[in-house]
Amino acid sequence: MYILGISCYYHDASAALLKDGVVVAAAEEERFTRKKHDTSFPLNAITYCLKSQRITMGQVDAVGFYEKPFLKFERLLGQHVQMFPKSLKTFVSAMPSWIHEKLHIRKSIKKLGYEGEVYFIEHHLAHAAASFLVSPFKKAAILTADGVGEWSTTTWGIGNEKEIQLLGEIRFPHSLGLLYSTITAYLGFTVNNAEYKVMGLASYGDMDKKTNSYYEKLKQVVDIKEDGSYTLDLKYFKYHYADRMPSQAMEKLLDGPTRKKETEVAQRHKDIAAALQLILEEAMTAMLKDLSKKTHYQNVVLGGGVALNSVYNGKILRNTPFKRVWIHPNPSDGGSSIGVALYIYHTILGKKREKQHQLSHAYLGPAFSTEEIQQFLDARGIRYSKFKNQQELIASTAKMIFDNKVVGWFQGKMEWGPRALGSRSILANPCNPQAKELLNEKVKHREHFRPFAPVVCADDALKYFDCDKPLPEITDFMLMVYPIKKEWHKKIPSVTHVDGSGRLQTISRKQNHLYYEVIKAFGKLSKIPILINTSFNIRGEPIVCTPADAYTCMMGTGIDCLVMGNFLIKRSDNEQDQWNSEHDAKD
Amino acid sequence: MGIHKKKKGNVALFFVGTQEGIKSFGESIQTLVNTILLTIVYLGGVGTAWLMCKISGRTFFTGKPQQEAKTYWEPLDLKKKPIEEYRRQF
Amino acid sequence: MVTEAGKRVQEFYNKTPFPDYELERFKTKEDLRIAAYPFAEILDRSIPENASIIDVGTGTGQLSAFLSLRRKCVWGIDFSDGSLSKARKLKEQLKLKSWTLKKVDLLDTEQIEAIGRKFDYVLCMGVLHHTGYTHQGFENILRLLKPGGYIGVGLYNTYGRIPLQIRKFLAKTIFKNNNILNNTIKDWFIRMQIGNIEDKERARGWWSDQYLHPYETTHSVGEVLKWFKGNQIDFYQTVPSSTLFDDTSLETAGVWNTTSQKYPSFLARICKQIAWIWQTHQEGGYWITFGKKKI
Repeated sequence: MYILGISCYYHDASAALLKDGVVVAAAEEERFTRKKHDTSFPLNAITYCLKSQRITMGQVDAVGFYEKPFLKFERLLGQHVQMFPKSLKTFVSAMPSWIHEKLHIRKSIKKLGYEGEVYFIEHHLAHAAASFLVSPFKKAAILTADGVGEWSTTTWGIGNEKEIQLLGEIRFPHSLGLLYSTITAYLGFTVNNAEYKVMGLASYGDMDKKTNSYYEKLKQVVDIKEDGSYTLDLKYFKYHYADRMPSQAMEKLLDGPTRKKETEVAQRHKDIAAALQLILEEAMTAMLKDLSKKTHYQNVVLGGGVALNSVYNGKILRNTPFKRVWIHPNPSDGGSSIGVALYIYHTILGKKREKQHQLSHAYLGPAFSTEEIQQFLDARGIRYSKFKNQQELIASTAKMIFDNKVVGWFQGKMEWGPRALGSRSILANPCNPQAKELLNEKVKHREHFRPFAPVVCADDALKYFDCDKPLPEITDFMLMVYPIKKEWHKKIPSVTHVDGSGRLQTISRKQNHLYYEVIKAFGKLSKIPILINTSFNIRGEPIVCTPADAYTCMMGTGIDCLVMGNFLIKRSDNEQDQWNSEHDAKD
Repeated sequence: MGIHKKKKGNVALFFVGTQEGIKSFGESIQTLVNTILLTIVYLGGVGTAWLMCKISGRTFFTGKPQQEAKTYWEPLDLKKKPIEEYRRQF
Repeated sequence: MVTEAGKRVQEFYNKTPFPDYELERFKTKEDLRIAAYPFAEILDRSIPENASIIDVGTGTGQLSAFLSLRRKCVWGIDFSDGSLSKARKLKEQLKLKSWTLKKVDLLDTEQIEAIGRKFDYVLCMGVLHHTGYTHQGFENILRLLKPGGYIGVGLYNTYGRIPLQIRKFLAKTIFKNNNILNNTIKDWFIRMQIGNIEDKERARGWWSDQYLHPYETTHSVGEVLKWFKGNQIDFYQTVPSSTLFDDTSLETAGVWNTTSQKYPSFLARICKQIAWIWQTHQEGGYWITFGKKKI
């Protein structure tokens, strides 16, 4: 039985395919169209899912869409009616898309060549399902938090076997996600794209509630009750009638106008980022504590875009009574395509949850065979060499990284979700104190305050990081930030953030043995089996998908070489294809 | 990206350029017409609804914190429903 | 049934097998898989893994070989020794155990019956219009189809082939049936139509098949629909579509998909076939009709 899940039209359009309840293929549309956060109907992603199973829509038994479009439209109209006439501009810009696309989902699905059942589930149910139904838990408490779905922005509930019940909500316009986005915009970053930058910036600010004056200021903006439920004072916001920029009242409160992009990030901005993080953590912790009290469950799952806040995720088990936590590797709207498909399979169609349905890795995208890669290289006249065997590949890659080369790593099936996890990664030496500057200036063109993430073998994690014990499974998805043990700070400076933390990825041999072996081989040379793992893309572009994308990225940046399948391609050997990506880099 | 730029002849460029220009002009007209029509709909339709809501006192959401409230959680009962409910877009 | 046209066609394909390819291109099964044309890939996904398929007029067998990669029973039949010999080399090179090749003249009902079995899917792509007895050929190959089985027939279209017929006339005048590919103008002429092809044998095979073929006929959609009706075949769709304003995505819908198209009216057919004059000119006015045999 095949079930296709679709998510699109707001941000991160994606498609996912289940075969008998197991996720067999999933990908975001942006990877195919090369347009970051592409929101359009995910035809390419759907085509990929079908091709991966060698089927057409004729063999698909059910299709699911991740929200209820008419309910969302009703909320939107309600916004416009209440905020008349301030919302004229948004009305005029948003309506064409609704009229042509968003109210015609069934038509778009029919164009795929499908006339079977189409199911629509509530937005937050899709978030809850994406996390709970593929988690290792039979029973769990559920908390979802994002910008907004139809009306809900935050919900709590319980999951039990194949049933999910959401029992409480906070409704639009009161939204942690939108609060975070507004401050992101205030700090001069792009909304729905750069919230994680604000999270990284927070560590440079004052993380003490008592001394950070902006914490008290932001407490005027959001009232958090003892049970964690919250409400916003709308006079500080504009998103309920216009865009997500802060209002004048917010600018006055925060002592200055919105920061212009590419201008200097002052200490004030860092403190505001820190204050925001403190507020988010306060609200989330209170909600989770209350949830634990209400449900008496030991396990909790989180969903929605707010669950991407890995700095907070690393504190959940320490600060709340929960013993285990699980989060989908793609917890924002992109992951809801899996969520709706799972909900259809287990909850609507009543199929039992079994062990094989658990999501133990995120390698769900397209892979390319040796022949396909070779055909690409030969057709473009690219100079390359081929590794004799896997041992040579592992040893050479580890040696190149140890020699402080920046290595593009392209292996196997592309990752699902916003993080690179060893399929489409750029690898570098974390012991090299210049690595961070090198990567930022030559490759990623990122802001200097953004940290790089370490990858470590699962069996070594507890030696280097102050993690929760036992190690949560979701460190495999780079969803947790933990303190790096003090004695290693100076030894791996390039992945140690200013506050001594690292957003680690753990990897087991079973999940990705090639990646695992490279890390171990590097460890033999450097005595520290940890690598810098950053996403394989240029700033402003989605993570690479095909061999062509990978080659183009390498040739436009300072990446020294590309290990793609069994092939080694050096930048210096192919001067004719070099170009300068810095010129075109966007946020 | 910058690697493979196909060289086009001047004649081809002229045709492509003209085509794009016409397309862009058409899109501008469409945007203008959409804007005018939607503004009329907004002022007429949404405006009328706003007036009626003002008279009846109906609001869709509140904007201020309430000190006396114990919780901001609102009850929700989203659980498994009859299959017909999932076929609906609302 | 040995016909005059048949003899000429057989001789032609013995000399220039089609589709032609360099055998050394296919060192592994994966090489064969990635070389599949986009439409062959769609066909493969539209047919279940456990189905039995026969490709009538398989030529050098690239399509049937590809379809056999993940199936247990795929046959390829043809009457050209030259073509089958290349196919057999490919079979041996890649050890394609589930692919059966047999020399059969599709116009000879005895030879068809001698195959001794029926199939879930019968494909006949770009073959019947070279026989001179297209309708008879169609009815013959139906003998190979199980009740409830699926058929796909590819033919040249009466309207869609017009541009190629004009080009053919010009080509004959300029190149005078020359089969050597070193001529620069001819090279450019070929590349203009089918793009840059590294595989010289494939380019030569295509040129021969499109421009130098000794015998071909053209047919209309209405004609084929009549054959379907007369032989208890339910019409499913044509590729390209015969329905006006059909924007279904072929890549996701696949073929033999009941949702795709309604039975095209006379007016729709005419409009569409006229449009094919420029829409299908690169494929030489080629179109495929898909149907299902009634049980």
